[in-house]
Amino acid sequence: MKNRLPELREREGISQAELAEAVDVTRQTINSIERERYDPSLELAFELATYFDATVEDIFLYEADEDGV
Amino acid sequence: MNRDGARSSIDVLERYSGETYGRALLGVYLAAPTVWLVSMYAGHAAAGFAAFLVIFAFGLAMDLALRRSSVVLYDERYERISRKASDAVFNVYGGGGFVVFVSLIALEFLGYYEMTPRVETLFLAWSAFVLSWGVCYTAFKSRA
Repeated sequence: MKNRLPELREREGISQAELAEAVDVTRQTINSIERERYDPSLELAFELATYFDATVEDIFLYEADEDGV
Repeated sequence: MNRDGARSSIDVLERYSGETYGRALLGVYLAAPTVWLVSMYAGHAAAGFAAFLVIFAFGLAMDLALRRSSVVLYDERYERISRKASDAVFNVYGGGGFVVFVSLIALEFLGYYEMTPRVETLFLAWSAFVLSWGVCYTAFKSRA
């Protein structure tokens, strides 16, 4: 899923490892989300949103598939 | 070990990241059976088994210590990958076994094949494996 995590993280001046520690996941998980290889759970999405003082929609950009699903 | 001692051990553990430990632990857990298998082929099965136990126990102790620390080793992505791996293994053994055993039983009915005791044992083991999955699935479903 497309997301603005790298942009928000850079704006805050924190590393992937620091963000990972803040939301209790591994650095690889943050890296996978940023590379759009892993979609986080709803709980982690809210954790990230809370950390950046944003909404889930501010961070994650949902795009319906071509068939509308 | 007193409480300060336990705390300082955890502080030592927390010097490195979950990523570093994750790779190290995977290495230890994979090394244990590898050493055993290689030793078996080299004709030192007993020594290999002893080495397996020692290496595995070391990995387990490290794993348990890390779980007590604040190092994040296992998270939701790990759980999802584990679930995918379990699904893949079940599909390969469950689905593959179904095709193989149904084919063998069909051939036996047609008189082209006769199951040996070893194949029968494999069939029973496969049935137990699939039935175990079914029992777990039913239990989880009843709670979902």
